[in-house]
Formats: sequence, C-alpha cells, structure tokens
Amino acid sequence: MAHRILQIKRWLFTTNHKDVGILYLVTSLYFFIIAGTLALLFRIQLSVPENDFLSAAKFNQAVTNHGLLMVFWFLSPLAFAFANYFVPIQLGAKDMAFPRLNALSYWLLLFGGLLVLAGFFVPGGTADFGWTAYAPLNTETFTPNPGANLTAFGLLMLIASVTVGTVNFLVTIFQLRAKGYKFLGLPMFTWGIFFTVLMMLWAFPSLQAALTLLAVDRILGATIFEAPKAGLIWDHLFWFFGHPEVYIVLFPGLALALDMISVFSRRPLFGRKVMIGALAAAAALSFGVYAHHMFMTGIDLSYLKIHMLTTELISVPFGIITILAIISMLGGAIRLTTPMLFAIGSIAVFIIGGFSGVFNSNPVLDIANRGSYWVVAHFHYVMVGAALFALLGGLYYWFPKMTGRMYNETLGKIHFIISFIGFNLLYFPMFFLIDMPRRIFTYPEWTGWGPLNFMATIGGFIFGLSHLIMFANLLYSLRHGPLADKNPWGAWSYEWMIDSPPSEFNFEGIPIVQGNRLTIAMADGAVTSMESHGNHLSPWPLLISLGPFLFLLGLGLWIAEAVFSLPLMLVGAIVFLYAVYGWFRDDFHERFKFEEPPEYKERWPFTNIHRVKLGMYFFLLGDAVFFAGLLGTYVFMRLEAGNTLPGLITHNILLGLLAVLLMLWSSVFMYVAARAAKLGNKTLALAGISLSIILALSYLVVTGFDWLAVFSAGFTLSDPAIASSATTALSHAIHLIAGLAVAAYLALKVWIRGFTGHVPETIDSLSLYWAFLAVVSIAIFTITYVF
Amino acid sequence: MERESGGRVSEPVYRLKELRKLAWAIAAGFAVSGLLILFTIGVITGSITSGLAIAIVTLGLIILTAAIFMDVLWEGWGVQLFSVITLVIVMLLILNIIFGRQVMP
Ligand code: HEM
Ligand SMILES: [Cu+2]
Repeated sequence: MAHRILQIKRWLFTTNHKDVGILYLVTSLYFFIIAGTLALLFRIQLSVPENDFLSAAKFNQAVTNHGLLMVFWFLSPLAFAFANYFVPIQLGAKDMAFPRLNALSYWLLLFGGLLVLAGFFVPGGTADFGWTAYAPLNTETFTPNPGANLTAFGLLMLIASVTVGTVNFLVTIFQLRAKGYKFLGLPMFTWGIFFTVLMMLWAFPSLQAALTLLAVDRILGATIFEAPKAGLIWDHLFWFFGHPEVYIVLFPGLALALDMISVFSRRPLFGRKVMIGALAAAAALSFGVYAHHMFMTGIDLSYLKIHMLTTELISVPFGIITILAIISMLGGAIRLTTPMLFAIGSIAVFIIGGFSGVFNSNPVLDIANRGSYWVVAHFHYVMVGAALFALLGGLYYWFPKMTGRMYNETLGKIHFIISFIGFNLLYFPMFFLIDMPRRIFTYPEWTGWGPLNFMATIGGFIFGLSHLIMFANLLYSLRHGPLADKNPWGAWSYEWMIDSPPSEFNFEGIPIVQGNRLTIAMADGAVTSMESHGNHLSPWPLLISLGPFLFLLGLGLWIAEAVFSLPLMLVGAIVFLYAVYGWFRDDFHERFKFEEPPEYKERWPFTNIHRVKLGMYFFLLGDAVFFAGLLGTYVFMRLEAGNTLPGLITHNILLGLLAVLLMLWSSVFMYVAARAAKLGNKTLALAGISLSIILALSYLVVTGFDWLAVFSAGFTLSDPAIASSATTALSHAIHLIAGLAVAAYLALKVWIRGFTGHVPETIDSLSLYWAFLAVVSIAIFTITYVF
Repeated sequence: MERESGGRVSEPVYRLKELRKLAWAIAAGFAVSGLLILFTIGVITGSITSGLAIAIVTLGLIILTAAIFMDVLWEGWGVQLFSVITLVIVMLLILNIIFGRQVMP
C-alpha cells in the first residue's frame, strides 16, 4: 500500500526527464484514441451519400476537435515524449536544463487537452470552426457554442506548455552537451528536435497573439474579428504559425526515420551534413511560404507570387533529403525490422505527400483543388503517413530501451502491413475526390462520391483498428517480453551505451566525448554533482497547472451560465497562488538544486552565459513575435478597418510619453540593480530593484489612467483599432505584473539571504525581461499613440 | 558568488566590464529619453506624419534600446545572431501583414 502511494507520488511529482517522457507518451496515446474515435465517427457519416449518422453540428465539432487533438495533443506530444526521454541522453546529459519547467510543460499540456475535451460536455456544443478557426467563423456571433471558449483556453495552455518546453530544449541542447561533443556529431533525431523547437520558438507566439485577440473578442465583447476584412488578419496570424507548425509536426518523425534508416542499413547516413543543411533550409523557408494557404483570399498578386516561388523552393531541401535517404539504404545491409519498415514506409509516403504539395503551390492548379479532398489527402499523407509512421517506428525502436524488454517482432510487422494498407485505402481515394469540398457533412447521391468515400471509411477502420495490435503487443511485452540487452539494434547513439531502462541520472559519472566515443569520467566534481541531484520530486509544476485549469474551466462555464462556475474559479485562483508561493518558497531555501557543473559541458556558442539568462533570452525572442502580432493587428486595423481613428486622436500623447519614460527608467534601474548584484553590492542592488518597482507601478497607473480617459471619451472595444491596441497594452501590463511579483520576491530574498545560489544571475535575467518590456512599451507608444 | 560559467575572466577585468555596461546603460537611458521627447515634439508639431517615418523611428529606437539594455551588444555573436534572426522574423510578420492585403473583394 505504501509502495502504491509512493508510486502515485512519483508520477505526479516527478521532474525526471525520462518520467516526463513516459507521461508525454501515455498522454499522447490517450488523445490519439480519442481523436481517432472522432475520426471514425465522421468517416461513418461520410461513408454513404445522404447519411444522417451525425448531424451537421456534431459533424463539424467532431472534425474540428479531431484536427486539433491530433495535431496538438497527439503528434507533437508523441514526438516530444521521445525528445524528453532521449534528447538529454543523446547529448550526454543527466536531465534537461530545467527539470521542474519540464514537468510544468507536461502538466500544462495535459490540462490544456482536458479543457478541450471538457468543451464537449458544455451544453450548447463545442468548437466547430475547423482546426484553422477562420475568422469571423470563430467569433461569438457565428459560433456561440460556449464549449468553444474552453477550446480557446485549452489552446492557450498548450501554447504556454510549448513556450516553456521550447526554452528548456534550446538551453539543454546548447548547454548540456557532454564535454567534447560537437554539434555536427549529434544524432539526426536531436537535430530534428533542435530545428523543431526553433520553429516553435518563433511560430507559436503568432498563434498566441491570434488567440489572445480572439479571447478578448469572446470574453470582453470586442469585435476585432468581425471588423471588415478582419478575416485576413486571422489568416496571417494563423498561417504565419500554421505553416511552420506542419513542419514542427513533420521534423521529429522525419529525422527519426533517418536515424533508423542508418541503424538498420548498418551504415552512416550518406550526405549527413547536407541533410542537416537541408533541414535548416526548410525550417528557415517555412516562415516565408505561408500565403500558399491564402491564395483564394483575393490578396495582392505580386505578393502571392513571392510565396508561390518560395513554396516551390521548399520542395528542394525535402527532395534532397529523400534522395539521400534512399541512397543511404541502397549501399547498406538492410534489416527489415518493424522500426525499419515504418521508417521506409514513412519516406515512401512522404514522397507522394510532397509531390501533391508541389501541385498545391501553383495558384492556378490550386484554385481548382482548393478546399477539396485533394488537400485533405495531401496533408494526411505528410502528417499521418510521413510523421506518424516514423514516430510509431520510433515507439518500437525505443521500446526495449524504455522498458528493458523486447516486443514481439512478428506482431510488429503485421501491424505495419495492416496499417500501411489501411492508410493508403483511407487516403489515396481522396486524391480522386478532387471535386468534393472539405468540411461538408454529407453529399447527394448523383455526385458519384459515394464509392470512393466508402472505400476511405473501410480504410479508416482498418487503419484505426490496426493499432490495437500494437497496443496489445506493447502492453503484453511490457511484462512478459524477453529481456532486452543494452543495444539490441547495434545502434551508436549514446542511449544505447547505457542500461535498459536507464538509471535515474543516465550516466554514473561525468560523460565526456572523445573523438566520437562516449567515456564516463570519475572526477571529484562528479560526486558532489550527484548529491545535488538528490531530489527529483516537486508538487509545484502539477499545482501551478491545475490552478489555471480550474480557473479557466470555471470561466468557460461561467460564460455558459452553468452552476458551480464561480467557486471553481475561486479554487483555481487559490491553488495557483498557493503553488506559486510554494515554488518561491522552495527557491528561497534553495531546496531544489539541479545543475551539472558547467565545466564538464560543451556550451558553444553560449559558453559564457548562465543557463537562466540564456533561457530568458530565448523566451523573450519568442515573445517579440507575440507583440509583433498584436501590433501588426493594430496596424492592419488602422489600414483596413474603415473608420478607425489615429492613436494621436484617441490617446493623450503626453501621458503616453510620460508612461514610456517611466517604463524606460524602471528598466534602467533594474539594469543598475543587476550590475550591482554582479559586483556584490547589496545596498545598490536593493535600491535599484525598489526604484524599478516604484517606476513600474507608476507606469501602470499612468497607462491605466490614460485608458480610462479613452473609454470615458466614448471609445469602446467595438472599435477594432481600440480593441487591438488595448489588447497589446493589457498583455504588456500582465507581463509587467508577473515581473513585479518576481522582482518583489527577489528583493526580499536578497535582503534576507544576500546573494546566495545564482541570485545575481536571476536578477540579471530579470533585468533582461524588464528591458524587453521597455522595448515593447516604446513600440506601443510610437505605434498605437501616434499612427 | 557564482561567476558566469568558466570563471575565466579575472576579478578586475570583470568589475571593469560591469562598470562599463553600467555607464553605457545610463547614457543610453538619457539618449533614448531625449529621442522619445524629440519624436513626440515632432508628432505634435506635425513634422512627423507619414507611416514610414513612424516605422523608421520605431525600428531605430527598438534596436538601440534592445542592443544596450538587453545586453545584445555585450553577449557575443550567439546572442547577436539570434537577435538578428528574431528581428528578421518580426519584420517578416509585419511586412506580410502590411503587403499581403486584399486588392480584390
Ligand atoms: C514538400 C512540400 C510541400 C508543399 C509544396 C506543400 C504545399 C501546400 C499547399 C500549397 C497547401 C495549401 C493547399 C490548399 O489549402 O489549397 C498545403 C496544405 C497543407 N499542407 Fe502542405 N506542402 C508541402 C509539405 C507539407 C508537409 C511536409 C506537411 C506536414 C507535415 C504539410 C501539411 C499541410 C497541411 C496540414 C495543409 C492543410 C492546411 C489546411 O488548410 O487545413 N505540407 N500544402
Ligand atoms: Cu503550408
């Protein structure tokens, strides 16, 4: 019994990267089953003409949530299950750079997904506007379904999870490589995750901006996305995120397939460096092609031509990767194990998917295919075929490492064959349904779409049910499979050099890379570092995510006018505040110490930056895109939305000037405090932080006063320019208030305990954050108070 | 006190570096304040009106402030590279929004 409780505690409070990886894995598979069931439901509806299995409303809700859950709560989290488990080991590290933040990422993801699911149970229905949530369909007027609010909240929690995870992975990859481990030597999978998190860093904030504006519409009664032509700003913000997002889904799987191909062909990848370069090129291009999702919106033609060109360019790096992968196999001694079958299947299917994409990139052809099942076929070939097959292969590939046992090879192969047949039966007919529009819930007999749809539904069931074979195989093998040794595949990345399953800290000593080999050194420093590893449990990541979950659930129910909503919000707020307090208290007593000695790590090109500061840099670089999205929306509204007025008229520019100067000098004093902390001058540091806090509070007062004046002059949130600039100012203020809490805490800690631990570095990072907020306030001033 | 990793720099050099950063920040605080005031005067008197002028001033002030207060100037090429990439991406988003607008209904 006591053992049971200990086990439960371990899974709830763990911060160990491997445990977190397992949590990601189980959670993603759970959402896979739900999203897959939704898919089977609407495939039944579509199997024959004029079917009434699902109503139009139910159909739209099923399709929407299928898309959202598959992309955000299944495919990416599955990839990040492996990333959490294996990237640190492949780097030669003992954990992630920030283990507690890693657990936080997980809990935010889980609770975000639960919010989306909760939407189904709200009377009045949940989101039904498609995974792209096009405006104005996403607004209250067109989608009054109260559940849709929970969907939007769930997505915001997901974005928080992604943000934290992105920062964590970037710092880990940059600063926790084993000494002597050069970047180019990293396995493809880690490279794939590296580019994935880079794209996440700059892409997700754009979605965050879109959803924040949507939340202001839906909760505060603004009408940003109902303004004339506002559909286009949603398109921009969504697809600026959305196109990189499809590569975010693809990259981990693609890179993993390459690693597996290399292992099971028993030879290094042919043109490995070229492949890495190609991934980099595709990642970079992904930010400049997205208007290919907007060919039909009637936007400027020469602008579209640029995006058409870049879109066609993007097939070049992918072409190179597939050709090199094939060449790698040709020269090798291929072993057709289950993971290898999935890897080959993934590449094969990717070729078809990629080709169909190139056709889409031509506006003339695309206008014909637009919004048809051809597009559905295209993106399922790449997302399901290429990405998912590779990731399922990865599940088999790493199963022996994670569990210490082998799965049944024959059943694995049967799973591959059946799922491959089912997959093609499901999606290939859709290429021929080129005249059938997406998102219709039924179709008349005379269209002749019936037989192909019926085939697809049969394929869907074969594909869906085939995974039961995998679940049965893996669950059985978990207990009863034959024991696996360290390296059953003869692979060479570092996870295969250690035990199966690995020990808590992966390496017993200090991992060092010499040449291409990993050795474990036993220096004196290692012993102390192991001791400070002692505590891997913390309840705060769970509670810090549970609070907002309860709060947002309550808020969603409150808008739906359900009972119990207010107490739920209250409890959520209390849990959140208590958890933040707990986290701070742990930090105050420096209870949770986890750091590998930097001397034993390869940290190029950030050799001299503390990990907290580096993490802050990455966070802020992403955040810049968030504010750019908000300010861009303001500019768009001023240019397009008809009768909006310039900020010079709506605002008092002198108050604006005063506010921005207060913010600027608040930042100067925080900078002074950081320098003082670095030099060990306690008095000056405390004076700097205090002055900074006072000026920041004055900034909030002046800004609030100015906005009060705007509203009392009769302007309202129904003016889209006012609403978007108010959203910007509000977001900035929320950032600042969170910063103020940290600043006050740090001042207290310095006052009582002095400069212990890495407090000076934390103050330095906070001054970075403050400087960023000063930069944003300058942009807010010069744009929304003038233009 | 914990030094930035490695602890390669000697104590006086380290102090000097921090003090130099401090001096620059205070100077920049006055400079940016002055520019903001000048800009406001320009706007009120009507000499700054075009969107382009506003855009250039915004960009200039942002770069100046970030370079100094966010230590971009002092942190080596890694941080500088990532900052420049971010600037490019931010510009990409804004320019897409401005130029990718509807010409046909
Ligand atoms: C190889 C180069 C590729 C090209 C040239 C390409 C091109 C395109 C184009 C032009 C569209 C818009 C079609 C339309 O809505 O009419 C599109 C849609 C889509 N593509 Fe691709 N694509 C490529 C690869 C990929 C990959 C690798 C993925 C994901 C792993 C992907 C995922 C998607 C998705 C999800 C959509 C549909 C979005 C929606 O409207 O819901 N594509 N692609
Ligand atoms: Cu795209």
